Amino acid sequence: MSSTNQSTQPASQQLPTRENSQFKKLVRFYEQKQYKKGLSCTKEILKKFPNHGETLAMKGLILNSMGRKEESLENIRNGIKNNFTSHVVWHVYGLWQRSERKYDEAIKAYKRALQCEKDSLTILRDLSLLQIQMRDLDGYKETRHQLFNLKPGQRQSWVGFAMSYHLLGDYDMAQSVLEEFRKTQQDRPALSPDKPFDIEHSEYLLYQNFVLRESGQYEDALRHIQVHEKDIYNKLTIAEIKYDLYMRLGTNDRAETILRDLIERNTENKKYYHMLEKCLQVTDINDKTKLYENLIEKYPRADAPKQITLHFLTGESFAKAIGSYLQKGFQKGVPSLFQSVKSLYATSEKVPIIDALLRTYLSNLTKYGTFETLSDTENLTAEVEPATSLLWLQYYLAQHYDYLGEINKAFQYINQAICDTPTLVELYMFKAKIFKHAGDYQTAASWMDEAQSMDTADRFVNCKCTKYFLRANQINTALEIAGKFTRENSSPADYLREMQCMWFELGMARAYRRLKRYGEALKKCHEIDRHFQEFMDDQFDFHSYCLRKMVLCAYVDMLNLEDHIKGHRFFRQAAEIAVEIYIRLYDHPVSEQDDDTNNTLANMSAAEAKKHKNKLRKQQLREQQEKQKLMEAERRKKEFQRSRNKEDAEEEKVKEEEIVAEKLEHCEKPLEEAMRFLQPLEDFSGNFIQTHYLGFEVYYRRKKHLLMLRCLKRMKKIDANNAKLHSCLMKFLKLVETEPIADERIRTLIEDELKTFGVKQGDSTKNIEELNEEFIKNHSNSLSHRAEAAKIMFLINPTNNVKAIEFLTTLDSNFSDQNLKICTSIYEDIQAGDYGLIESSTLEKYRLECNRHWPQANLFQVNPTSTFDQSLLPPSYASLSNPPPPYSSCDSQTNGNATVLLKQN
Amino acid sequence: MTNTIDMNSNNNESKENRAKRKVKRVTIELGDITQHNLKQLKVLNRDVFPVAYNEKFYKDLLGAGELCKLAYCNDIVVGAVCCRIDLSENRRRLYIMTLGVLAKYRELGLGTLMLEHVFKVCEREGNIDSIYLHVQINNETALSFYKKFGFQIISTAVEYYRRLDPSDAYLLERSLKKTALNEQATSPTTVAQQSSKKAPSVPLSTITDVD
Repeated sequence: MSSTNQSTQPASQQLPTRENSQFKKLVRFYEQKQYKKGLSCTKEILKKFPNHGETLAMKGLILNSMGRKEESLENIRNGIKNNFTSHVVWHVYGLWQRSERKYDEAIKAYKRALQCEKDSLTILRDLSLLQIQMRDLDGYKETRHQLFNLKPGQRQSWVGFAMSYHLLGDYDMAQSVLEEFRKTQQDRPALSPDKPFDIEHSEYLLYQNFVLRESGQYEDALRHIQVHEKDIYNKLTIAEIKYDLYMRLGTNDRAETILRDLIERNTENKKYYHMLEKCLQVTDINDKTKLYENLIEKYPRADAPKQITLHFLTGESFAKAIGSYLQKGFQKGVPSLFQSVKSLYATSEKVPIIDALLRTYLSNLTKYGTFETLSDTENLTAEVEPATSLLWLQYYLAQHYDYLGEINKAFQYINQAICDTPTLVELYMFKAKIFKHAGDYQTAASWMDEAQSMDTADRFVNCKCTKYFLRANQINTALEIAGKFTRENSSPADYLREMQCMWFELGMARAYRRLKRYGEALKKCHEIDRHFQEFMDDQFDFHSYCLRKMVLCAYVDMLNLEDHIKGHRFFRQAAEIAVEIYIRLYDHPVSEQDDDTNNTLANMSAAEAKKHKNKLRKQQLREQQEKQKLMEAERRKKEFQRSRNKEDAEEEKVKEEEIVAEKLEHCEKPLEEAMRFLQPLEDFSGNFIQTHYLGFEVYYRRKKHLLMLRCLKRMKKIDANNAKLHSCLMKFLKLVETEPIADERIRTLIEDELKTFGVKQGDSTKNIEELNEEFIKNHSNSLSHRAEAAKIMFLINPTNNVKAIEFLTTLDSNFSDQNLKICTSIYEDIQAGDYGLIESSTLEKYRLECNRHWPQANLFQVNPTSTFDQSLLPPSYASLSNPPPPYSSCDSQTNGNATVLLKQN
Repeated sequence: MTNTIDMNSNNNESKENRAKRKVKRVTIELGDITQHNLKQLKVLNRDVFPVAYNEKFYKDLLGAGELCKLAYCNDIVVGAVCCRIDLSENRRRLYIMTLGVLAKYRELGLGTLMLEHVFKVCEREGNIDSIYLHVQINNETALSFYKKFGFQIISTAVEYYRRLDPSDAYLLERSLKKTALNEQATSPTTVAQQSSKKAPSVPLSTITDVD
């Protein structure tokens, strides 16, 4: 903060010398974060000059840093009122807005400050930071230009000036600024003869080269890198840039030399191998085989070339290669072996080859003790594989069959392995996974807990265990498990939020949604949204740091990353959950849901129901009290810490308002709230069909015809055969049929566009019923398509859904996608009322049939807790310790039976 | 062959063939018992011994240091040894409470590795008079294993294992007095050779009943 420019100020706002020096001190105290001292300075000045605007503003700024928000703004406003021609008060106002993250407002305030003080470097610099943060690239360029004019002697001015052009895509201008500045560096006296330049100059050169490459001037870029090679410290990057440039310029022989060097440096980087292939223009499979044979011979310990080979080999040669790869894995004991070859299973011809090999190995190992089949004489001399080889083979077999959906075989092998070697944690982890795939989340969690208990120092297993308990809807247990690795004096949930641990928060959100606690689930989604907001705010610190420290390439990478950060799958998944819940809250507002949950009571007598309700209420009360107690303790602890802290570093972080789950659940306009998540989904996850499906569902309820149409078009572009596209399209047709659009222009536009969807016959739209029948005929063996078709049958005839339900609940092993996932979602949709009211006996019949197909799945069991087969649980150690789970008491189960819209007959 | 749990009883011939053949090299080593992997020891003991140990038994092990060790084969826990120093009868003796290896991992040298570790511990301790332990009287493999290392049957403890049949146990002891040590000095190596020639096929487990 620069001090006041006395001369331009009105007389009433000028301070005598003594107070003026006091004011300077005050500014210094603020900069050194000695807020209390600063505050007493303001007191002294204000005693004599209570209306001194700049002092008032500074007082506000200090109060803001001390966390006293309201007072702070009042003082700053007062300051502006008293002296609105001072750049100090506007600058302070800008800083305040910035601390509130209202960057647009802050920019305005800074511009105002600049009107008062045209060439203030501090204000210009602060303004440039805000502009780049807001990606106001033109404004950034202007400000950078001004800074450059004011301080042409500074390196930062040059770099910032160049970068502002680079970001606008004006590569030539950026390049000429950079080159001009580089020339001036040549004149600098050398520090030492062999190292004339420092690391920062090396980064500068790399950035310059980056700009050249982005502008497509590859020849210049190559010349540039060749000339300056000796001044660049990062040799790996030089090599990577060079091979890329050589290949672009068609000098493949040079690229080859570099690529071979790079492979020598790092034999596991697959990119180098693929580039080498491209560089040598190998297309013929024999040449390719030969190339990799040589590489494997040269680097026998490298895994990457072997893995690549496995992908392109076929038939006999594939069998040979995969055989030796697997054998080595079994002998060495590589737990991740299946993971590293899993991608091969996508090629259907390769699966039977692997399967046959595995079987041979298993029978040979048990018969001869070796992988190969032995003759009688060999049998006496050959060395036998140790028991660990068989163990890892069994482990692999379990994964192999689990992947192929043969769950019983998978269980057989994993159980055999555990029987032989009960001390290996990985085996228990995989057993848990098979249970998970079978739909038995409770038992899966128990087994994962068993694995966790065998190595409590392993955080990976701990995280897995946490995740499995979340999947089993046992949130409290999950928190307990996670708590073994979180900070001791804070609750695991708070700690994990602070650490932005989003897989955990997503797991929580899903668990809460399954438990129908929508408010809590939404809270988690909003917290994830906040993390992403924080990621974006966090860039602020880097705008000045990176220019100062010359980490320019990384800085530009970061800016690009931040521009698309909400495309990350964690955000996408959280947003999908949130939008789905908001849609549900719109369709079934919370009061209605309360009735839903009360259906649990339907089967009880009145007295029982009352008792049950009381119990619930008491439980809630207790939970609330406990929560309060915890918060109280937390507050006390914080106060204690605060009192211990010294006057310095009093600055308190901007504290976020706590998100309240109940408020979210009872929001008045769920569809508007949904937009907060839908918008970034459309902006950054447009490649996912789910995005546009959710978009359609939201716009359908908001009756936004053109937006619905846009969603339909986007869905069609991604996957024209998608089942959900059909139901959305039918719903759209039905909507425009029953509620014709008044606006002539929109109507004709929609009519036109619909032609591309194949729902027109000449000029008139085909009958929906007909279209649905046609669709059924075309997709008769796909369960997911049938499910959507049934939805339309129900839409056409809402009073009689018998036919739709019957069509929907038919199971047939000929259906291509008859699996646990699809049937689960059908069952849940029926329960959620998507197909209208349903006879409980019909639902029960469907449940039983699904239960027959997937006997382990919790969802289709009568009562998941009671069907716990004790023999399937980890063995209990009656004499050793307390028996391991079943955990069940803490959280309620999701057996939907109780909460369906049942038509009692 | 007495009480072995034979996984491949229907394939005796190949099993005998295999017993004569050499097994490919494995890495065997010892590791510490900590509160984090204690459960692995419990699981192992439950698998190897017909006797169950109580929670206190395991709690006491945590502070035992070198007296208790896990045995790893290719980085997997497959065996363990647990001892304590016994000061009764005015003597300082080392008592082997448990020593065992998972069935599939026998004859790989893990038992020898653990027993040699026990000898080293005694040597380091210095003033240990002898090492002793109990073996169920029908456990011939265990008996021959310990005899190879210079243990001798001292007495029979009648009704030692209340819940096992036979319930009697031999008390085996190996003296560590100077003269005895010299006498035994060469034995471990000869034993090792012997063991490869005539490999025992019964669990090398010592059983101690503590309840």
